[in-house]
Amino acid sequence: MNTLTDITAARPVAPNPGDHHMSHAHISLKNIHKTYGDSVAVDRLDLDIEEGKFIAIMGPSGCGKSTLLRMLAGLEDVTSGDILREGQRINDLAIWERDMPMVWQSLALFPFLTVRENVEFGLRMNGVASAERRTRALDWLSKLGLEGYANRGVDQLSGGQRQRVALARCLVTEPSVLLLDEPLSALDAHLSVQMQGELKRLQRELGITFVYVTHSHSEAFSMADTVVIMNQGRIEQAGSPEDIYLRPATPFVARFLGGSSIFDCKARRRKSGELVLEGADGTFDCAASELVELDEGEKVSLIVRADQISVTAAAGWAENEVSARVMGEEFVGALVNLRLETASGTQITVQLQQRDMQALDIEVGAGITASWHPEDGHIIKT
Amino acid sequence: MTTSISTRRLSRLAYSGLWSLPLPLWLAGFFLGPMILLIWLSFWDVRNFLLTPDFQLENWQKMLSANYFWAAYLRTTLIAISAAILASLVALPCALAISFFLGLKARMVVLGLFVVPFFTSYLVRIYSWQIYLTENGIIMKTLAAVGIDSGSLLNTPLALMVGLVTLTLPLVIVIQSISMLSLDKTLIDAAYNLGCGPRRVLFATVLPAVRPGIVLGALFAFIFSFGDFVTATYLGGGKFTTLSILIADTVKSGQQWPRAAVVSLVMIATLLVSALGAISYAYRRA
Repeated sequence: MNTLTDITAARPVAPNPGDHHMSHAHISLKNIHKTYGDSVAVDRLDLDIEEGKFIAIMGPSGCGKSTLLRMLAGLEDVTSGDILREGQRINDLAIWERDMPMVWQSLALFPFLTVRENVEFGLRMNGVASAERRTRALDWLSKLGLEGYANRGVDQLSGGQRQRVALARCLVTEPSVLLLDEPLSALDAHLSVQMQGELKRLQRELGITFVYVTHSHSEAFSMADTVVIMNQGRIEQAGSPEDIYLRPATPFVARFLGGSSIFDCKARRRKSGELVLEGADGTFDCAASELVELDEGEKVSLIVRADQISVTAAAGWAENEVSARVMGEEFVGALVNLRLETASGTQITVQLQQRDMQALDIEVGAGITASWHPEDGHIIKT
Repeated sequence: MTTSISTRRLSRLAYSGLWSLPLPLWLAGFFLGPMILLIWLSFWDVRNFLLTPDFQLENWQKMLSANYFWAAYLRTTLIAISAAILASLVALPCALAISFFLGLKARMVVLGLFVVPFFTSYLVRIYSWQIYLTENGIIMKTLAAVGIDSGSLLNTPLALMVGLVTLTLPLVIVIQSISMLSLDKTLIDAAYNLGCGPRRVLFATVLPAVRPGIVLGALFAFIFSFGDFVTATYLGGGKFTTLSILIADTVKSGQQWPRAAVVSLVMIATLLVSALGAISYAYRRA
């Protein structure tokens, strides 16, 4: 694999003149609204994208993430609201004036041009002289490990190579922001993981802003500095991958990320004065820090991650216990995902080591007790 | 069990065999056979207005050394190329409009209308043009009324072009439109995204991307015009001797079927070479 180490040398990261803030909103979306007829695609959304950060926007299909990206690129009009870049409103700039190159899901390489001509396209449109165009295109091709392919047709390349050509075509004009619309979805799993590493390194070395739309958890969480989770045109949560993983802000986020069990509960005050959570599946204790802002009678979702739940054959051993029935098991390498269901119909996911699973001797349909430590529950108000 | 499997295999074989039979039959009966016959015929002799099987090179020598043959060849080629270019140029804005500016329904209607000309006989359409283009036709009368008097438009290169474009335009428009409609619109978005403004997008992206369709449209126009007899006869008035007219004359004068076969074979060879050349150009990268 070709290294990208000389990229920073080739293109020094532009300083931000007049930037005295720690975080600098490179791109700001202010109250962005987008409707198609009666249906709302993006619903009064606010988002600040920091300079030089890798931001991943993810959500289920139809959540508005692609529409958001297309509005940034100028491919879609904004129904209302403002898009700002460096504080300047760019709503009314045409697509070709935005200088926000995009890596397309289909890659959209020009089949009638050679690899080099594809990379040169943006420079040609910007009126760069032919000799310089050629040098810069070849330079980028070699940075991305495509030296010998300049005069090939794009249909003579492998999927990974085509991906690199698409990247080179965007980066050759030295933009300050790159838009990526599910660029790895056409690659096989192995190649996708490899490209994830390269994309992240490329972004870090270039120091430019990446706005990356994906429906893949692994892509978003492995590359992004900030993950934005969208649903029905709104942002459910925006934060660091760790933050979102450990502290999902809404039941939707917990469900969307998967791997967590969700118990619908109500806060109740014990005679002793402390709060407990009471639901159809039982009464649960929770860490005091999680209970702080809760009032009696308030409805909450109690979220417990799959790796924090343990299972035992008999009850009466732990504080937060739920009896459930084994519905199924999935083997993922050395781990096993156990699917349980309680009498009230709550789905529980438990992640176990393969050997623990064998020791338990679990059968599908058998009764079992799931439990977790009170410190491991995370509360979301609903 | 085994019998049922073998009968099933047999019936499948019979089924696929039955369907694939017509192709070789057609090729043999209507292409290969006549072709061999034509080649053979070109070596025959004509004695006392009678075709006589023979093997002599005189027909080839006579035709290929005749100035009138090469003049007709050059004329026919030029006329066909002009018609192909003209039809392609006229078709281009139409195909662009059909593919990029019309809605789905309007597009279907318009494309449908371009098929309608094929319902009427080409001969009828050319006769109609004759009426328009004669000295007493509506065009010349109107021009005469405003003081421009240029006689008949018939038997001019212009009339030839009118006839050949009438023949080829609908097909060229349909071929170009199909190729534009199958163009991945993301390519245009990608061009915009890379700073290509709307004024440059046509020449930098759309036309290169649909080049196969444009070249194939022109190729068909060239093929039809190259072999056309009707326009050359009725709108050219026989004034422009094309290869088709030459064939007719050769046959009529002294039953020279073998020499007509020579002309015919040269035409077939020319079209074959142009078709191969055009197709390889169409799919070549810039």
